[in-house]
Amino acid sequence: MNVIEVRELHKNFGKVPALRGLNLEVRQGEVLGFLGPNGSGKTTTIRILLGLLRSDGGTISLFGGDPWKDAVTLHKKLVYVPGDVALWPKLTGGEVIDVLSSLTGGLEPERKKRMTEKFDLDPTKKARTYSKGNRQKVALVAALASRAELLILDEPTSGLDPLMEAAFTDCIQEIKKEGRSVLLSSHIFSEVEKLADTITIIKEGVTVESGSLAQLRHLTRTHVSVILKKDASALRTFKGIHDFSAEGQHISFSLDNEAMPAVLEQIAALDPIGLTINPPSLEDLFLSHYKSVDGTVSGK
Amino acid sequence: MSKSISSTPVTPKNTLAGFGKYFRFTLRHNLVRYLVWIAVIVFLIAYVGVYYKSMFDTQAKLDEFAAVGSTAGMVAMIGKISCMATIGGAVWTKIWMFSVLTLGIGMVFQVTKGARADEENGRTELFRSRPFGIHSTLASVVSGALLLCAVIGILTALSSIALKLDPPGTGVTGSFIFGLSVAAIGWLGVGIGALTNQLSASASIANSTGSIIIMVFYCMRMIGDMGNNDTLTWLSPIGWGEKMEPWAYNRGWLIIPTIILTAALIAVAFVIEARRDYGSGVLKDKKGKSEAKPLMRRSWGLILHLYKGSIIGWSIGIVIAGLMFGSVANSMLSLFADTSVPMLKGSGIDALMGLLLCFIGLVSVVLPMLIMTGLRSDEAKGLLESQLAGGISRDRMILDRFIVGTASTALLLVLGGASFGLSYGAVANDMSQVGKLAVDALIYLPGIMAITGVVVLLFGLIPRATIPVTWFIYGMMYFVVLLSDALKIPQWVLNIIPFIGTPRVPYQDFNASVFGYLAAAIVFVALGMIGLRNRDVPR
Repeated sequence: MNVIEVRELHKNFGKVPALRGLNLEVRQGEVLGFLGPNGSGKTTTIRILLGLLRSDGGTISLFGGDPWKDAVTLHKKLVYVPGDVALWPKLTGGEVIDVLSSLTGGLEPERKKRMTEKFDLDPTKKARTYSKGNRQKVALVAALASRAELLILDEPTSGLDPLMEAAFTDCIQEIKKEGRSVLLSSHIFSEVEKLADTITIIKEGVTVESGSLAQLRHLTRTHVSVILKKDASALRTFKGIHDFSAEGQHISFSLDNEAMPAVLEQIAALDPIGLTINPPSLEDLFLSHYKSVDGTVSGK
Repeated sequence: MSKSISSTPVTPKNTLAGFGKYFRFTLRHNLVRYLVWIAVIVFLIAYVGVYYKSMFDTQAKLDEFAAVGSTAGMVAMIGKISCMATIGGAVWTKIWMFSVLTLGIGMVFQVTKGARADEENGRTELFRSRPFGIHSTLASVVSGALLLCAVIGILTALSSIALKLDPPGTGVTGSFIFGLSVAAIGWLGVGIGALTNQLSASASIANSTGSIIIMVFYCMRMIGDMGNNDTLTWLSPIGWGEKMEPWAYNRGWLIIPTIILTAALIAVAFVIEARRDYGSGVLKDKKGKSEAKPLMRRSWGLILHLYKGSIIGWSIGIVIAGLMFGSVANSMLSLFADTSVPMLKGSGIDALMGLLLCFIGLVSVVLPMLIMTGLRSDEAKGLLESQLAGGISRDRMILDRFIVGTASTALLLVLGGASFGLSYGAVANDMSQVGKLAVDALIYLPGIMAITGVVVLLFGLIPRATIPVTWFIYGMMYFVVLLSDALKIPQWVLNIIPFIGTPRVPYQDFNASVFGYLAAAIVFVALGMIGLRNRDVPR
């Protein structure tokens, strides 16, 4: 049984549809990278998973239960870091961590201490004096110091510096080793590439792509650049080759993956003296879904 | 944290650049708020004017009224006033202190809303990154508020003239002094707000410091008025307004020290603003503990912790009010025994004590209303989200607050009743009043629970309306209790309001009707809980 299973999820705010048939799956012990531009429905999906919002259609299961009806029992097994962290202004960071953690049964003090040190957080300062990054650290420390089975993180590193991001990556890898699961919504491709076992990309409330990074790469073109001694004009019209450009001996193009063997054979015959083949980055994958016909990028 | 006040004074250039634009933005942005302020203060004064015109139709009645006004309790609450035997003076006596305290504290909040609160939420930063001078925002907010107070003062004067509050043959000088004295305290509030906004590191501290300063000025004049020597009244800026005494001395010149002080406060605020860092104050936040106390780890304990300061503050307030009521009780009797004021539902000392206990109830209801409306403000801030995601049920969220709210109400009622009994008992030589009135005050608990139940109901069903509708209901209740006889509303309708329908012990006997309010409270809370169970959070 999967930790999270969402099928054909729908949610409307008044007449405005926010989710229009979203699918999502988090398996036990896995990190799911949840990608989508602003306003595509990531936070709405997460709030439905937390039983804060009620879905308008589709099936949704969290640890096999109903997140709306069984919210309280299910929440004992998970921790959540919201995208926009709100804290009680009068409490100190340390107090907030304890208050939040006590809701799910409390923290082991030495884990709290280790995490506050790891994230370089001063827990004696009043919450209202924290910057956005430090507010986020408070919520992160409370989440990462817990032993919850599932972590739901909504853009958890958007306000953190690179050092803290590295600390975060460390923690998630450790959590993965312990067999716990993570739903990681993020805009930082390198972080998702490093951490995620599977990736779900959504657009306007619908899942457009889902699978492991390797599977997703299959669906997209590989970038090839090559230096050829012989005339390469024959390649220009070769099946599976796109965006062909030539500058003297320097040839570059993108390539459908299924055409790879035939094209490589052809190249070999043209006396190559240099060849680089780059698999598509996650960023390319992501952008390819948001590129409109004229090549500009937009969320719509 | 590094030093936030620079040691070398370098004044930024073009400090008022963009003032015109920001001022227009401030006016547009606050228009509704300004209109509400104008309506509330002017309406309040005009309403009492109309009411008193009909009530005091002979000079004999005014003389009687003036005789009561000079008792210690009344002097303590509303000041030593020499013009009470005139119709304008009677209105001034009844409403001036209440409306100017409201306006003064209101202006502190108004300044904070545009200054420190916008700085806190980052809006000012957006403007400051554009070609706007360092003082352009504060100057706009302050100018808007000063203008608002001037308009309120002028309209007060005009409505006083229109109602013919000036005694025949005195012209309209008194009416103008009346308007001036209202505007004066408003301006003072603006000045105090401007300064506390620069000193404190947060909007809520700026508001509470400003309110405390105004209350200190109020207490200064109280001590001055009660003693033989009124130096302290003359030293208190609120005393300056009080001493204007329209229709008696017409000391309009007292506006001069008020303007000088206000200008000085604003000038100091500007000097500090030019030298401090954006987002910081002069007074620093102290560091706290890194561990939460066990109490805070329970959801009701957290609420108790967050409202601890308010509960202590309101407790002190209600004790002071109770002590004052007790000392007033005896002295006020002579008036009410004769003229049988309808508000009193009868005559005699018991009826008066019943009315005063009702006032203790009206004060006590504010705290639980604050605690319950906190549900909505926490939802808007995103605080409920983390708690609900943490495994608190929606029902608990409401119930824990309701229990803390009800317990603090009970505390305030008992404290208010007991302190009332203490000071009354001291005069009447009857210390059994302490326990008796403490228990009597609790009769308002079911009614207050019903009112806070309405807040829960709103929160569950129409969350966006929770805060405005709650305070509208409070305002209406206050009005209706003070002026019920003048409104010509059928009694059974009035009885819906707990402060009217609850038997006025000790004058009236306890009766089981209060359990009706308890039942209503249970129904409201249950409906609110069902509403919250079935709605999105946040909505």
